[in-house]
Amino acid sequence: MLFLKVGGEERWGSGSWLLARPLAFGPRVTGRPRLQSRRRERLGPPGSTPGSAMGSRSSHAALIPDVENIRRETGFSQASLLRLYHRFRALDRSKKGYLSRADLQQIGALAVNPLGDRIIDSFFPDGSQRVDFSGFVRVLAHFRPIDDDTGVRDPKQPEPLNSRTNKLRFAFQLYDLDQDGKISRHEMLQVLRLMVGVQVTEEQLESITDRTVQEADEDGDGAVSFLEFTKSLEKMDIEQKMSIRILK
Amino acid sequence: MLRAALPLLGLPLAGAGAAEEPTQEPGSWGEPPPGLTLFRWQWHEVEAPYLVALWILVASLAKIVFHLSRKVTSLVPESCLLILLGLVLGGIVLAVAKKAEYQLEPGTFFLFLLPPIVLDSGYFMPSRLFFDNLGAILTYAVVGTLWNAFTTGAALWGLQQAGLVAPRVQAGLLDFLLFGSLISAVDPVAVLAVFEEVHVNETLFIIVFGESLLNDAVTVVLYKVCNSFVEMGSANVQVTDYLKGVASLFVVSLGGAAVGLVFAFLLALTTRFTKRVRIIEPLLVFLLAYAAYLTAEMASLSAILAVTMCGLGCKKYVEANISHKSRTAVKYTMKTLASCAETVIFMLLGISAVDSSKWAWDSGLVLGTLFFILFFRALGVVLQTWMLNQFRLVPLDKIDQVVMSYGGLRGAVAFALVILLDRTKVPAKDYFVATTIVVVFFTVIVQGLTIKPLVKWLKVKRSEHHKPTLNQELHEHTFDHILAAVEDVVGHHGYHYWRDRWEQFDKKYLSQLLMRRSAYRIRDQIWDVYYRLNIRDAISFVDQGGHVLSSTGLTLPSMPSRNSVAETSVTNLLRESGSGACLDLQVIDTVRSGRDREDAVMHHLLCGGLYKPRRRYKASCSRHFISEDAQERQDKEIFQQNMKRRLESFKSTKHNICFTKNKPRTRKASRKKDGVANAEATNGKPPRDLGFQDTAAVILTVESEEEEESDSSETEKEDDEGIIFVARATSEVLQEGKFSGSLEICPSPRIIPPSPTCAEKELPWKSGQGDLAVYVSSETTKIVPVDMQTGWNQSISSLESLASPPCTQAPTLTRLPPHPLGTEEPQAPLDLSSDPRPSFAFPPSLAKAGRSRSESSADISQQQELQPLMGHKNHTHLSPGTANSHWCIQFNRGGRL
Repeated sequence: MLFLKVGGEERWGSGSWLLARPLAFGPRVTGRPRLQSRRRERLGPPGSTPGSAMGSRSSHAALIPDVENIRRETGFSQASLLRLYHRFRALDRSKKGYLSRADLQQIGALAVNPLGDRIIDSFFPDGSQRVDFSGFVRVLAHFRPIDDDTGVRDPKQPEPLNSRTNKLRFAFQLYDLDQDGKISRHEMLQVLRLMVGVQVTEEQLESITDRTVQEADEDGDGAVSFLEFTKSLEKMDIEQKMSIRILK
Repeated sequence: MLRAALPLLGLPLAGAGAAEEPTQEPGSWGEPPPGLTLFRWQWHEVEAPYLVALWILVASLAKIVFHLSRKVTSLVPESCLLILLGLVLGGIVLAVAKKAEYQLEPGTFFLFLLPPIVLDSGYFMPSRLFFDNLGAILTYAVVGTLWNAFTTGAALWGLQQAGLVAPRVQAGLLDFLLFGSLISAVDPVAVLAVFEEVHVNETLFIIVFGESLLNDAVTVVLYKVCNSFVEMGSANVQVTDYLKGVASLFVVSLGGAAVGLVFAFLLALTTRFTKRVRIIEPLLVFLLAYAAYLTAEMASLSAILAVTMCGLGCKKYVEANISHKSRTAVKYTMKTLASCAETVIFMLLGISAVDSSKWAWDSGLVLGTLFFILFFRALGVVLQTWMLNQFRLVPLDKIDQVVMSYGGLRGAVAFALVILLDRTKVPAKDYFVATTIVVVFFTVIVQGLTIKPLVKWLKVKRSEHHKPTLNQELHEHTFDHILAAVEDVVGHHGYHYWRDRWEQFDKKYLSQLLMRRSAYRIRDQIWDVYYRLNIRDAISFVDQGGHVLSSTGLTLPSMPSRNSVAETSVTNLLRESGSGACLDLQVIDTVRSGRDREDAVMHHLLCGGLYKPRRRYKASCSRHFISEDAQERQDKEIFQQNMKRRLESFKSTKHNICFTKNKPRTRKASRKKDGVANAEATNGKPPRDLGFQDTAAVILTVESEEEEESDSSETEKEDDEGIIFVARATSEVLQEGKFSGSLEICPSPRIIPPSPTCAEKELPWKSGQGDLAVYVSSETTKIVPVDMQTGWNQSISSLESLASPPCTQAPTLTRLPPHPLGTEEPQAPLDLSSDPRPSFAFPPSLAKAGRSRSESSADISQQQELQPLMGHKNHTHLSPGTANSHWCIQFNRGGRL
């Protein structure tokens, strides 16, 4: 059942790929520029936060403005970009060319998600109130699977946005509310409060928090730094757990 | 008929069967005895169950023998050894009895031997992994099996047409398709037996194993359809029959799954109400799962699918509902039954092969079948994997495909199915039987033997067992939520979306319906991991045989080892402190000799460390509850003591616990002032410099045993309630002034002085009585003997007195009669625990729960007994004049420490 469902979605995806064909060269042709872009990106700072640069570019003029730049940066295929652009436009109800918080908050299931607010926040870095298409895509690029369409991995050239470190950093930022590079005990408690059901009492929650922080905290400062965060997850298959297949 | 059923009945309860059977039909053996005989031999009455029990015994003994040598079992899978043993035994039986006996009967196999194995695998299936890979599993199970059946059948037919199979094998295309359908299915028993020893990574395992379970539906349908076609004769088969065959695939698979889920639901619902009859919980699990199997079998649906689904579906709720002991019982019984059945199956397979009357050899057919099943399996896997990899996030690479192809083991299911064939309808049955036996033996023995080296040689990613950590659990949940949210944003409702949806539904409705309220309340995965980690720490600690006071350099297995002063032994700290210089002139005459002090310390250690039974248990003769014997009880208490101490040594930064808003402000203010005054008063102290962190506090969580409460408690609420002891450094309390008030709501703390040493009794200056005073709440008394408490507090105190500057201890005496020194008294620095209201905070709800217990009356009376010992004793002998020096003494000792 589930598999069929996924298959259906994929067919839909390839349908939109047909749409995209007149617009661009298609995924096979774009393989090379992507490789180049990867090399270029590697020179840049690896830990650049999504959406920190390129905020000024407006993206509602053409069908997808700056499609080449965006693709180079995010590594998305043409079809995925087009699909995301349609989604972007659909979310942007009043056709203003950018998304506001309210636009994202109206997604029904996101309201139920315990981390929904934080994830919405991650689309709006540095307190900005709007996100354009490139910023939107850049956040989503974190969840692109690491390997290529063909399944052949290229370990030498890590993608900047969907590398393991960046995936982890994205998750880390959801915890680290005050962005001081550390998950304090208080921040951990807040996350746990969101995640753990209401049935767990506050005291239990606190003990869990303490233990969690202790477990990860290696230098004994009572907080979890990004390094410690990475280390506590080193056995986990982040590449798999933080990727969505359709975002290829 | 009855004769045939008896061994079947006897099988699952083999041990009991042998004993019970004679009493069941005592009078059935006709003729009245001629007189009283001293000895009567009644072999026939017990024969059938006796034989069953004997076979199982033989199998088990064989298992023991195999495992005597680690070398053999590491090289040769157990299933191979069992088959070989079966061959030998069968040969012996054949030689002795001149006829083959004790074969693997299809009836026995399907009704009694298979269900425990499938239930075991379904129940302990890692559900998350299973559903994550459901797409691949279903593809391999459905498409793969169909592919294997048709290609193998058609190729064999082609082989016959080509003249490579001897003409005496009378079979048409339909016969070969029938044979193909029964030989194509990967066998769960064989796969499990081999793959459990080869530790490939979880994804690979779940795909191969899941396939072998789920392909049952396809096999059953194919087998039945082909069989009826063969019986009808190929000429009579009409188009509608083919359509019916296709439709029956859906009916059988979905129907089987539905039956399983219905029974899972029933099972979960039933266990919700077993609170008072814990003893039948394991039985219920087995009964309902078995009922699911039989129901599906009765409706000719896929029984394997039904019982797999039942196990898979009910586990979460059942585990939450049943008691801890029932959980263990279910686990062990299930494993025992499954392992028993597996052993018997393989042994009987070996025995059955000996009976040459049943089979007829044809080399062309045998070799052809062997080649085709291997070839088409590999081809099918490659094709399907290529297709699947288009959709999979993590593609299956070539090595995975090799293992999957090679891991397609055939087993007892195929054998039982081929035995079931009707020789009048399928003239080539004997040839098929022989071929099946060879195929099964080849796959189990040859492939089973070689798969381990192959996996090693190909460097297949092995499964790595790492213990779960809280962080991983938490972050995994976070990732799930993130992915679900991102799918929402992208607008693609994929797997994560639906899983998220399901989890919400489950939480909102299903869990509420199927879990008892207490279980639901505490059922949370993160909390669960936390709980298990704590338990594991405690157990491993107890296993090490040490306890805090005697072992040094403790490390927590679940936590990265790091140097923590709090984890070193208290004794050592006390001893080390002996060399500290005392700088305070006022205390000069109270400095005890090292010997003196050691004696006192030793005394208190013993007080704390020795086990003292505190509770009186009623004798219980109920059949419905397992009464714990005294030994068990003692074990439990000792365990709890040990665990408590162990956990006590956790260093943690613990902040406020109970925090009340409506506290008297004035009091707080005055207390704060006092604190400041104290701080000033103690300014001249030697700096404490032992590398402690400022906040050395203790969290202590003792989960009360469900069992012991279930019979004592009326309120469901406390059933799984943890008791949380929280100790907190007072410095924090002062720093966060608002919290100090919260301590007032802690349930009546009491002071219980430990039995002082003689010197302490007689020489007040030696005593430091005040600092050994201990507050114990009703909760604590309930679990731990009072003396244990003192030991505990001592150890904490000696830790904490080092950890936090004495000057910052909050004067928080609220219950004691106000007297001039009331505020200063508990600051005795040697043990902070004399200042327990900052140190121990009991959640009000817990305290309440504790009081509501039926036992609590006993506790209260006990506490009342202790009352005279509490509290005032420490203060009465202190005049205001001496108090100051007394206080200084204590402070000074702390400083020295």
